[in-house]
Amino acid sequence: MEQRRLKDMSRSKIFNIILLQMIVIIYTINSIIAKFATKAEPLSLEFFLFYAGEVCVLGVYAICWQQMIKRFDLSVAYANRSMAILWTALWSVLIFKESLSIKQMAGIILVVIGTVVVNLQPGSDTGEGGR
Amino acid sequence: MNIYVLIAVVSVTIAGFSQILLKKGAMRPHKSFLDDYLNAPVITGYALMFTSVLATMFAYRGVRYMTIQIIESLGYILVPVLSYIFFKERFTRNKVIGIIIILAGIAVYNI
Repeated sequence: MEQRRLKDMSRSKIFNIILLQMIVIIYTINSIIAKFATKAEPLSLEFFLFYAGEVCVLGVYAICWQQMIKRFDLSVAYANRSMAILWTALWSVLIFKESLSIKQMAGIILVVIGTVVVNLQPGSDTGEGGR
Repeated sequence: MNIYVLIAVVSVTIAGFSQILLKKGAMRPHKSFLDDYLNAPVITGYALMFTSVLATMFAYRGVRYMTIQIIESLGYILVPVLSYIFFKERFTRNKVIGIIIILAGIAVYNI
């Protein structure tokens, strides 16, 4: 039954979900900058540049998010934000060579499953911009 | 209750209402790209979002990172509740089950 639902998901919905996740990824770039910022000398030029970078990323995220919530139920779009946990974990492993515990991996898997379940909801997006 | 916990809870609530205002702005008929942003609900929504970010940063002074993450996840309940109240977005089976799994995931990750 779930497989049939998956088939029923329109291409535009999948496209919108991918776009939404790209915006969540932009949001998580902040965590990378914040991590680098902690290594900068406080109140140095580098320090201010990192914080300016954070403000810029947040600004881009806010502008894009506003466009995306036209296309989704707010509750569905917001649930998709939880995937930030996956992307942030990915950056910490790939960029900062940190390791994840089994518990953390289990948590991430649950969040991914939960997000997929929410997205399988029929008619949770408007397909087009505006409603 | 620890005052910083209270600030974090208030911050999540403010963030939830900011999302409602942003969605309200997003539901206006599209005129131009700039008009999508230069209207009262969106500007107020952004102002609330900014306030919430500052409040959360302040809350980090007195609350552990893990606690903030758990408190922030209250947003996954608050936003659907507010969406139901303001936009009549229904609580469907998928939404309820999905959000419960997401909350369980965040709890497992952080605790």
